[in-house]
Amino acid sequence: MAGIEKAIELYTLMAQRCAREGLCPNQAQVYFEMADFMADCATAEEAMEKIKNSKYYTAPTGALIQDKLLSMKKAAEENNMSELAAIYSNKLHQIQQDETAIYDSGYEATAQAVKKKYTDTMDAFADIYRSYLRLSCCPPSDHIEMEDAIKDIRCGASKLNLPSSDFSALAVDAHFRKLIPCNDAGYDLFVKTVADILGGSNGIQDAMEEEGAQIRNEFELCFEKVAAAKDEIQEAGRINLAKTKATKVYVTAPDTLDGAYTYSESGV
Amino acid sequence: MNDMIYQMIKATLDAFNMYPISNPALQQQVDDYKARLTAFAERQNDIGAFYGNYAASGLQEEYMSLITKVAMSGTSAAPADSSGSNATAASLPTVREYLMQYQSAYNELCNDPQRARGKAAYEQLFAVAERTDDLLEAQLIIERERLLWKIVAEDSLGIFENTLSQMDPLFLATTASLHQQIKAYEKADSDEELSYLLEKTQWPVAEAVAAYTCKMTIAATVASLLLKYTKAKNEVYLWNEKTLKNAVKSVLEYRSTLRKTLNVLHQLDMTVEELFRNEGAKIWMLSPENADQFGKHKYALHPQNYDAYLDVLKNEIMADIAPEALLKRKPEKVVWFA
Repeated sequence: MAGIEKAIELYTLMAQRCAREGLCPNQAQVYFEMADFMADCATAEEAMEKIKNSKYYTAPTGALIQDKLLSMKKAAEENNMSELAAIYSNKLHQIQQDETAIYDSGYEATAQAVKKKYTDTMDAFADIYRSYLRLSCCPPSDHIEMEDAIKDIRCGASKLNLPSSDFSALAVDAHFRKLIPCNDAGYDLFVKTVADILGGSNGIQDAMEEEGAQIRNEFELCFEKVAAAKDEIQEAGRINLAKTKATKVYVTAPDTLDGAYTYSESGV
Repeated sequence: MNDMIYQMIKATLDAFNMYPISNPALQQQVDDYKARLTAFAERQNDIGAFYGNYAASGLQEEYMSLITKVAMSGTSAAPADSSGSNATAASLPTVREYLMQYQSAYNELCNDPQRARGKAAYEQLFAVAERTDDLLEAQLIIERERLLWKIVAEDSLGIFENTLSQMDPLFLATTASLHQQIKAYEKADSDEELSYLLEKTQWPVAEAVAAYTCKMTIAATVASLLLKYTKAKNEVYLWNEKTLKNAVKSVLEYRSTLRKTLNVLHQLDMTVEELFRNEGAKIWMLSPENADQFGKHKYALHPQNYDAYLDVLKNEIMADIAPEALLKRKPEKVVWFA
C-alpha cells in the first residue's frame, strides 16, 4: 500500500472510531473530511503540505475541544446539573462564533465552581440525613446531643445551593432520594421531621420529652421489683463482672470485598 | 506550585523544546497547552492523586496528540510517506525515532512499581518499532490497537489498583470512588468517553458513599448505646444506694433508645441479623481506629463483643422482659471494653 493510501486509511480509521463512539462527532467529521481532502494527493508528504496550508491544520484540536465540551454537557444534563450544562453550552456557542475561543480555558474554573455548588448540595443533603439519624437515636435525656443534631440539620440546610437551596424541593428530586438509603416510610418521616425543624417546630423536642416521661413512669413501676431482687441481681453482677475484660485487638482487612476481617490479640 | 508536581510536569513541558516549531498556529497551540497544564498543576495539592487527575483532565491524551504533531511538523510529514521512493524519504524519522518522543514520559514512570501497567503499555508502544519500519504503518498499528490510549488507561488503572490494594476494601466510603473510576477507565476508549463516564460517576459514588456511611453510622450508634447500656447495668450490679436509682433509670433509657434505634435500622431495610452479617458495617460496632494511613489495619474492641451484643439485643432489648429479670441474666459472653 502506498503512503498516501495509508495516510487516508489512518484518517478514515480515526474518523470511524470517533463516529462509532458517538461522543466525538466533530472529530469524526474533521477526520472524514481530511481523508477526502487528501484523496487527490500523490504522496502523504504532499497531503501534509496541503493540510498545513488549510483549515485542517488546526481543525482536529478545535474538534477535540468541542467534543470534550459536548461530552461534558451531555453528562451534566444527564446528571440533572442544568447550570453546569449551560456553561459548556455557552462555550460551544462561543467557539462556533469565533474559533479562537478554543484557546480561552477560563470557562473551566467557572464550571468547577458551579459543579462544586451541586456536589456540596449533594454532600449537605446526605449530611442532613446522618444528623437526622443521630437525632432519631438520641436518648431523651441527652439534650446536648439532641441540640447538636438539630443544629447540624440546620447547618446542612444552609449549605444547600444547586439545583435548589430549598430542602423540600430537593426531597422530591429522584436523584436526591437515592442518596438516602432508607425505605419510603422512613424517607417520609425524615422529610417531615427535617421540614418541621427547619420550619421552627418543637415537635421533636416534645416527642423526646414524652419519651422521657414514659421512661420515668416505667422506672416508678419497676424499681420496687428491682430492689426486691437485690440478692439475685448482685449474684448475677458478681458472675458477669468477673467475665469482664479490658482488651483491644489488631484487625486486618481482607484483600477482597467478599472477604472478612481477621482479628489478632498479639501486637496490640 | 508543589515542587514534586512541578518536576512531574517539567519533563512534559521540556519535551516540546526538543523540536523546532515554525508554524505560528502550532506554536500557539503549544503555548496554550503549556499554560493550561501549568494552571492545572497549580490547582493540584495531592501528589498521590496527580497522575489520575492528569489523565482524567484529558491533558495527558492531548499531550500525546500535540507532541506527535510537533514532532512530525519538524520533519514536514505527519503522517509521513516512508516508502523510501521519494526524494525526501531520507529526512523522515524512523519508527524508532518517532517513538522516542515518548521516552521521557516512559523514563519518568520506569522506576515506580505503582506504574508497572503504564510501563508495560509504553513498552507495547515501543515494540511497534520491532513490527514495522514503515512510519505510516506504525501509526496505523498505533491507531488500530489504540496504543496511545492504552497508555492513559493502563497507567491510571495500575495506580488505582495499587492504591486499592493498600486500602480496606470493605470501607466503601473511600473505595467507592476508585471502583467507579476503574469502571470508567476500563470502559472508555477515548478522552471524551472517559470525561463523560467520570462525570457520570458523581451520583453513583455519592449514593454508594451515603449508603455505606449510613450503615456505618447506625452500626456505631447501636454499639455506642449498647456500651452505655452495659455500663449502666454494671453500675446497678455495684448496688451503691446513692447511684442505684439513676443507674436503673439509665438502663431503662438506653433500652428504650436502643428499641428506637432498631426501628431506624428497619427503615434502612436491615434486620439485626443482617447488620451482624454485614462485614463492612459491623466492624463499626468495635470502635475501630486506623493503624495505618489507609485503614488496612486497625485497632478495635474484641470481636467477642459481636456475640455479646447480639445476645443483649435479642434477649434484653427486643425481648419483652421485665427490668429485674434482665438484670438477673447471666449470659455466657459479656461485653468487653477497651
